[in-house]
Amino acid sequence: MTDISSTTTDPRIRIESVTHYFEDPDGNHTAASKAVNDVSLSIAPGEFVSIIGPSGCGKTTLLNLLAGFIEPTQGELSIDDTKVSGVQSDRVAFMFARDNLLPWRTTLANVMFPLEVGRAGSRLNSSARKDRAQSLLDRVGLGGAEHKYPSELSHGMRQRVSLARTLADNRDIILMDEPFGALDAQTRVLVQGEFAQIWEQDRPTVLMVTHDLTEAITLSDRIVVMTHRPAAIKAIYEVSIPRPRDVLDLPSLPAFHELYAKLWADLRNELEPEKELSA
Amino acid sequence: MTTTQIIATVSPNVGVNRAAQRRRRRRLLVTATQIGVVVLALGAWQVGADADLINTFFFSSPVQIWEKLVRWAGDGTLLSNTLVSLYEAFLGFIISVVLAIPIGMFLARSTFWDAVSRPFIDMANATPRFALAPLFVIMFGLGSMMKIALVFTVVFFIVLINTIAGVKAVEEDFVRLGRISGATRGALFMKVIIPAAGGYILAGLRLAVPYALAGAVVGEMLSGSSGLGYLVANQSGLLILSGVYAAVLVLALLGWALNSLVNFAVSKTPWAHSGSRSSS
Repeated sequence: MTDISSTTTDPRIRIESVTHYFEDPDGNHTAASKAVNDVSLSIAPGEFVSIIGPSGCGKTTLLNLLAGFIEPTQGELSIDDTKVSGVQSDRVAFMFARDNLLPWRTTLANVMFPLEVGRAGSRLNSSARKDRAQSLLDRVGLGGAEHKYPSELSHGMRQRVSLARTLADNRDIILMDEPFGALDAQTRVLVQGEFAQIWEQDRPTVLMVTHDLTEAITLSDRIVVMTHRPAAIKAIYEVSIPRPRDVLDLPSLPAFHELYAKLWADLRNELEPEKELSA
Repeated sequence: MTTTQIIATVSPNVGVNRAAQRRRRRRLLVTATQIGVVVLALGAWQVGADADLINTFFFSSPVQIWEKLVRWAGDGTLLSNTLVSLYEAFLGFIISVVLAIPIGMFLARSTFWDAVSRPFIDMANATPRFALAPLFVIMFGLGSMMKIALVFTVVFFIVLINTIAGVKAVEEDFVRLGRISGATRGALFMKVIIPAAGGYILAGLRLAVPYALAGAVVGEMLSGSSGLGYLVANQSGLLILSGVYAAVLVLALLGWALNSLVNFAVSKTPWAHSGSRSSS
C-alpha cells in the first residue's frame, strides 16, 4: 500500500519500523508481550487517520508511544521531524477513552485544566482562561453547564466536555483513543457530528483509534486496519467520500457501504484467530 | 396562558413541596421515636434500680449518673478533663497527619522505597500499638507527652496506609492527562494526585478520629492524673461505678461530636462531589 500524502508534503507524524514489547514481571520480552510489530506510517498536516483493529491488538499502544507515555522497544517516532522522546506535552493533545474528567472539578474547571498547568495557558491570565474555556463549552453545546460537576452530567455531555478540554490549548495534533466508544449509538452520532464540524473548521492533524467502522469512515481521510496482536498494518484505505460529510446521511451512500464491506472483511479475518484461541 | 401550561408550570413545584413535606414529617417521626426509645430505656433502668431489680452497685442508675455529671460539671472536673483528652488526641492526630500524608505520598510514588518499607509498615500496623504504652510511660513520663505518643503510633499508620492506597488508586489516565497537558511535577501533585487521592485520605482521617480519642483515653487510664480516661480508671478504682458510666457517657458524646464535626467538614470539601470515588 503506497502512502500518497507523505510524498507530496512533509508529514507531521512519522512512525518508522516501530516494534514494542511490554516487559513481563521479570523484565523479559516474550512473544506474548509483543504489542506492536514493525509499524510504519506517516500522517500529513491536517490529515485525519483512523486505526481500526481487533480489541486488545495494541492500537492504543501506538497512541501511547506517540504521546511519549512509553518508549518503543525498536524503531523511531517523530513529530514535525523531531524525535518523540518523553511526554509530548508541547505538541499533542490527547483525548482519552471514556471521558477522563477530573471529578472534583466543575465542567469549566475541567476545560481550564490544560490552560492552568500547561505552557500555552501560562500566557493567559485567569479571566482569559475562563473566557476561552467558556467559549469552548459554548462550541460543544454546553453553555449552561459550566458550574456542574461531571457526576451531574450524562455520558454524552461528559464526552463533550472532554472534547472541549482536548481543544483547550489549541494544539494542532490530536491523538484520540476510542473517544466516543462509551456513548450510546444515538449520542455517539451526534457527538461525532459536532466533532466533524469542529475538525473541518480547525483542520488539526488527527490520529484516532476506534473499533467502530462507521465512525472511522465518517471522520477519516485514511483508515489503517491492524492485525490481531501483535498489531501490524494489514491494509490502508483512502476514504474518498467528499467533505463536509453529513454524519446522519452517510450510511445511505454506496461508497460508504463498499468501504464498510472491505473493512469488515479485513477485520473479520483478524477476529478469527482470537476465536480459535479462546475455543 | 392555557390551562395545560399553567399545570405544567405549577404542578412540578406542588409535587416537590409534597415530597419535601413527606420527608420532613418522616424525619420528625424518626427523631421522636429515637427520643422515645431513650426515655423508655432510661425509665426502665431507673424503675428497675429503684425496685432493686437491678443491682445499682454494678449498673448504677440514670439518676446517680446524672447527679455525678452535675457535680463534675459544677466543680470543673468535667471541663478540665475533657479539655486534657481533647488536647492530647488533637495534637497526636495533627502530628500524625502532617507526617503521614507527605510520607505516604512519597512512598506511593516511589517504587523502590515502597517495596523497601512495605514489610515494616505491615508489621507496625499489625502490632497492637497500645502494648507500647508502658514503654512510653518510662520514656515520656506521666504527662501529656506519653498520651500524644500513643495517639501518634495509632493514627500515623492509619493515615499512612490510606494515603498510600489513595495515591496508588489514582487513575493512570488522570496522571497521563496531567503530563500531556504539560504539568510540572509539583503541579501534577497539587492538581491531580492530591485531589484524586483526597477521597481516600479523608476516609483515613475520618477512620482515625475515634482512634485518636481511644489512644488518649488508654494512655490516661494507664498513667497520670488527668483526662477522661483517668476519670474512668480513678472512679473504677474507688468502686464508684456511676462515675465510670458518667465518664464513658461523656466520651461517647465527645466521640460522636468529633465524628459529626469531621463529616460536616468533609461535606464542605470538593470531594463531596467525587461520586463513587469518595468513600462516604
